[in-house]
Amino acid sequence: MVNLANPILLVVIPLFFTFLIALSGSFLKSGVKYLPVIAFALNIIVSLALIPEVVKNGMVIATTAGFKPPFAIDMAVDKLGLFLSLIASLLGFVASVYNLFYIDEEPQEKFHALFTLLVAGLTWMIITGDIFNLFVAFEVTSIAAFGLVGFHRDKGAIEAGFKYLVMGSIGGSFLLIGIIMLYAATGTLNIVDIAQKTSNLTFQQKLFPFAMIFTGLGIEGALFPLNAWLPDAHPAAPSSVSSILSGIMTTAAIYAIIRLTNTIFDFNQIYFFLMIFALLTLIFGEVSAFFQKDIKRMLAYSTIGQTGLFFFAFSLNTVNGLQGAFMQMVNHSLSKGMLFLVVGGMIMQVGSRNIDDFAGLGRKMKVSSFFLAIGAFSLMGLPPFFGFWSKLKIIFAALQNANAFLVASVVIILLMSVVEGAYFFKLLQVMYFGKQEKDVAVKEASYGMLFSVVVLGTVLLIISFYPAPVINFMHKAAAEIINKNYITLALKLGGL
Amino acid sequence: MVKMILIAIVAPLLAFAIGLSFMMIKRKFVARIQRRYGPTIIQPIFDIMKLLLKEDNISHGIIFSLGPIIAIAGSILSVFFIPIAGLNMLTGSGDLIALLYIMAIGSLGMALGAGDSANPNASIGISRALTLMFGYDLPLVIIVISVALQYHTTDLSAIVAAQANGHWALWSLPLSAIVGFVVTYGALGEHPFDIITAPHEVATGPMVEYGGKHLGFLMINHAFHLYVEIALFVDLFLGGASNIFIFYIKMFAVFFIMMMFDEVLPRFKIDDAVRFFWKWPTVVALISLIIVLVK
Amino acid sequence: MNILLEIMLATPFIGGLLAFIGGKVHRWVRFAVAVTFSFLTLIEAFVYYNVTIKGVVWGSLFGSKLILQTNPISWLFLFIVTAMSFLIVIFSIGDMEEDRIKLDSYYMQLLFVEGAMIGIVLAGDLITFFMFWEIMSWTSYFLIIYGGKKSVAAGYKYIIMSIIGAYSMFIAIAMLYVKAHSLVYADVATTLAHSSATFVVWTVVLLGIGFFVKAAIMPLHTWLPDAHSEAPSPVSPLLSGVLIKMGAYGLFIVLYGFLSVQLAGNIMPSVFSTPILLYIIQWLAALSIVLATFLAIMQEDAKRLLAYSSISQIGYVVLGIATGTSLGVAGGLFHALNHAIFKGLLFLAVGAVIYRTGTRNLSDLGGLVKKMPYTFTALLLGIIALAGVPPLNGFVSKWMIYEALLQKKEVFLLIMAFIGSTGAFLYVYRLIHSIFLGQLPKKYENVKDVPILMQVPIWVLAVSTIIFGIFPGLAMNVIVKGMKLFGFKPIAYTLFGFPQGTAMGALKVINISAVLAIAFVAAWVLFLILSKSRKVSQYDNYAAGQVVTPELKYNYSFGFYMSFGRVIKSILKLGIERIYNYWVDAAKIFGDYYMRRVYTGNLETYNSYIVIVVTIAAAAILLGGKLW
Repeated sequence: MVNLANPILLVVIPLFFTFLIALSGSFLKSGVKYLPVIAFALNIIVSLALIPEVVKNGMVIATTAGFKPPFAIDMAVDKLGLFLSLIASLLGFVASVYNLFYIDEEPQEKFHALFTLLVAGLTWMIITGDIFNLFVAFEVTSIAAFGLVGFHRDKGAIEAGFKYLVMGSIGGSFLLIGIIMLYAATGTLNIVDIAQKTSNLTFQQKLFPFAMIFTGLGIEGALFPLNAWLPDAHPAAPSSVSSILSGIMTTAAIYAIIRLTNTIFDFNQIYFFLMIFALLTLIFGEVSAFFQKDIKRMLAYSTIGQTGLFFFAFSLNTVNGLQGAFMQMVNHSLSKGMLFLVVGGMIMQVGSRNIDDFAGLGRKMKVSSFFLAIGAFSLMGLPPFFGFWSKLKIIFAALQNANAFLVASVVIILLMSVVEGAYFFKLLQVMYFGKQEKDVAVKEASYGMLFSVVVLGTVLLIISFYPAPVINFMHKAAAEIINKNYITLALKLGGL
Repeated sequence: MVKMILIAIVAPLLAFAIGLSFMMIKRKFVARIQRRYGPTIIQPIFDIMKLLLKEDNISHGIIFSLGPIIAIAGSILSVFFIPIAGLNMLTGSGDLIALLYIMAIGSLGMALGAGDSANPNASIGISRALTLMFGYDLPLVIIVISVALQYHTTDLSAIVAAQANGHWALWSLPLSAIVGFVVTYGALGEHPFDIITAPHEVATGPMVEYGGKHLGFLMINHAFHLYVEIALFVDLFLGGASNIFIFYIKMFAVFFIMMMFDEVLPRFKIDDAVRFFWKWPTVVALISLIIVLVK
Repeated sequence: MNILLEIMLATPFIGGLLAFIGGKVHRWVRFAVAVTFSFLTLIEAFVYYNVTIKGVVWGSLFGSKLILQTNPISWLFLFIVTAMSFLIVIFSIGDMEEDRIKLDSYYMQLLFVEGAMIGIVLAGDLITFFMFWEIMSWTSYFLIIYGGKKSVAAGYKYIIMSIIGAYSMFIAIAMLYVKAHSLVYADVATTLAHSSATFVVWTVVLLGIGFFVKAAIMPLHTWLPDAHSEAPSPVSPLLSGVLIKMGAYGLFIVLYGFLSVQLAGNIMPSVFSTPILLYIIQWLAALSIVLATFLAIMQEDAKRLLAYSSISQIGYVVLGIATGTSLGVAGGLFHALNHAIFKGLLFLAVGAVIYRTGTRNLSDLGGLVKKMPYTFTALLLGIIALAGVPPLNGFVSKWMIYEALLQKKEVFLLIMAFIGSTGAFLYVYRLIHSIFLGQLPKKYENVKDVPILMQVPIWVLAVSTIIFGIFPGLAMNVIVKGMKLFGFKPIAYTLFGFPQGTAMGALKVINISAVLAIAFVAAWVLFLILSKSRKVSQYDNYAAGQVVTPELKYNYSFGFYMSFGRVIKSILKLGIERIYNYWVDAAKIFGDYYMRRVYTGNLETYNSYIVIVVTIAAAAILLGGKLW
């Protein structure tokens, strides 16, 4: 019997399927599209199997190739990593189900291979316990994403893909430089090992690698002003890909920043600086989203805004702040992932990404519109949806040790929430009460696509109405991060 | 009990009689000022009788007919809340503030009836009436507040009692009294405030379609109206009276001065009337109010 | 019995879902479910008549308990919510035609709004309160935009202003949470009692902005005239009658549940023996009363007129509540009930007229009294109550507020309150005159009165105006008992009014109404004795020689108070909304301009951003790790 509770499986399974798809593409023909579904179904099972282990021990560590850390590659899943990998698997699963009905453009096997690789890379990024692996996962993700953004091969997609390629490569280089600096300073790549050795470095010695790593991950994590590729790439990519990019990629990159900042660098002086970044990201994301006519662009900018919000919560550097950040990450991943899927189905029907062409869809695509409304409400933070609880937590946390700057930040956040409400309600009222001028035959999206949407929507609704388990889980996860349990646990469990 | 019933019957009749007497005097008085002989002094009684007993009455609908009835009912109701000659009647059931609104019942009933006549002149008349009411209400409430604060009560009978032995509010609140006079004058719709009925402009306004017994009722109501407005002024500023004769004399004095003004003044435009009321009477009333407040 | 609180809260939500599902089966199932569940809620509400329950814990969040509670004040609002919702559901069955947009979700939203409002009044902590507050905002948004094209813009304005208000509350709630780590009302009160004046003022102001947006106190009222007039007929009474009262309820809880007059007086200076904060609120309310009255007088649209009147009347409620004396607060709360009754009645009656004629433009209507006599009578009672004329209910509560202000010698506020009431004569007469009196246009000659399902709610409310007018003690039973819990000295009252000593004068409405009735009967008898009158056609009319024909529109109904408009010209020109729009537009232009400068779409620009970030970081490192 295979021990399912092994984090390595989370990476190995989709990687294996990636190659399987690439190899079998020529003879399985359209059958390849079912392979990602199987891969992510397995990933979900593995993630679920990990839950009892993680709850019991606080962390699960797996090593490869028979070496012991710090020399071996190791995967370390703690509470937060588990939760995010679970969401990544879930989103990967529903998006691949969605792909069954969504992708009809050739070359299919390449799309599915890249798609599986993308999610594999993201999961890898989340659960890795060693920074060089982080870089590898980052590059794997980027390569898959470059290809997927340009998948439609029209002018816009290729331009967006190219922009992303250039900026992503720069980001990768900076990340690598940062990692090399750290390696030079400490002589090891294992996160826990580095963490123990950085304590005798000066602030300045730590700051340089940090700046590099932050810039590298910040490009992927959609932090202003490094995020300029995002508003082009998300709309250009196929919707299922946008859903992953928006729902998981930014979250994963921010997760990596959180993990490294807290575990390795461990400085307090930096947070104020990060907060400025977060607020700028929030303001520019939300305000830009308000002016968009293209629905996917609007959602993409909204992703930037959301990222700013949970990055802000992280930069508070308190247990409550982190808890809020994690809750908001969950909310964002599920809602935004779902919104991109819904919108993809709508665009298929309407044949346009212009919001004005969505007029009257609320009457024709009832289920899709309903879930779009739920996702939008949750992102706006309206009760009783999950976004309300996370926004509540973030604001409570922000005012915890309030000074004038924090109060001003809270005002900015809430002002931006108003802006967010403004564009989402505009979208909703166009959808439900607008009058369709063009005579387009619009039907409800296919059942398969709806299935994906409904699954995500149901998960969102469940955690909306029973937020307590998630809230408590996130509280523990946040406390572990702040108390640096990661290091102690990893040491105890042989992560070093 | 018997006394109560007696009062209930006598008070309205008395009020009517007083009001009617003013109407009678006015006809004659105006005629003499205009160097005419004028009708006989009891002409208004003849008029009312004639109108009431007319056999052919026309009506534009139920509300049209109900208008004058509500108007009279409202006026009679007001009579009971104005203490007269030591009789307090219903002042314990509604104070000065309540009275301000009770007095509005009749006017609103009248407005309803006139509106139902579907005559634009009537509608214009009511529009003017309500606007004018809005106009004089501002100084009116200010002086009411001044009086209430002066005597620390809104109970009219208590206000009257406090003015006994010549301590009239006219002496203690002269400015308010002047404004009160102007307001009462405006409320009676005499020149220059006869914008509502203005015969040459809107053909007697709200009353344009009324004839026969309806008009008779309105004339009765006018008698009540005269009584209520002037009696209220007497109670507020001239200390009421211990017996009906003194009360009548005080009322007559007020009415007499009013008639003088009536004859010499032209007519306002409606917005000018509102502007007038919101300017001088309001300012004077406010000054008086501030004096009371500071004191 | 306590578990019923949760059941009562859940009932409308369950009912809403069932109505939605039932609607898929058949429309009568939907009606039946909606009526049953709103009635059930009403019944459940009556279980709590004059009951005080300190707190039922129904959950906990971030270490603060979530609590449901009830007391007579909550019950008063609970009664308004449940009773009005029930009547509106019945009215909706008649009014909302089958072929209009999807009605399944209409009933769902209607019941959800009811449920959210129940949640607000039953909340025993600020998280519950805020949660249901937000739910109320967005569910009512969906109700508003049922009204068709124009209502979408109105709803948009409403929801954006609501969100702004709600977030203002949010900051205050977060501040309180951080300070006390518990948002249960009692804990909040203790926290505030031990806080600095600055903190208290900030809390009250931030919470107050949220409440004032909902209660449409000037200058935060701009959403109301649009939203209330464009919403569907049965929704307007819900908004005007019930929803805006939630702002008043919130204000009451904050001022007297969290603070108290004594406490507020201790930490801030007083004017006219009123803490300055309350005094400012009073002024805002008074300005609302007067300005909204002026605007209402100038309206040409029946529902807009009523909407402005709502702003003015809610001003009385807030003014009463902010007086801080037993009499004034009781008057304010009573006026909340009364306003719900008569404004609900007026909106429903106007809704009935719209149902039959399809227009709410006052100058297009006229003479309908002959065709819709029942609606006319109900509307007449409504306007009498609204104008504050005895013996109907609006009079009593306004009288209490006047007396309270007089007792405190707050004369300027009192003058404004009086003016608002006299101004109300003007616009209510305008309303009834232009719709029901005057010339009946030819096209409405075949109009009938509305169906019985629409009559019933109208008449229930019409009778209530009389009942609460003559027996104010019925409401006082609840209000006075409830106010005792909030530390107010109970005022003396009887079933029929207020004895000498409560206010500066006495009031006994039954005497007024009895004498009025007798006088009316006497006059009527005299009228009947005299020779019978003959009914003539409306065209048999004096028109200075002109022959009046059916084709000619001679009704005087457009610009009814045009001459008065000239008097207040300068006031009408003040447009608060224009100021808001100016700033919003400016912000939009600014935002658009700068966003385009940042996200140019140019890869070189984007890469230069990366360089900038790295340069900043490098500079920081070179400066010895100092970031600033």
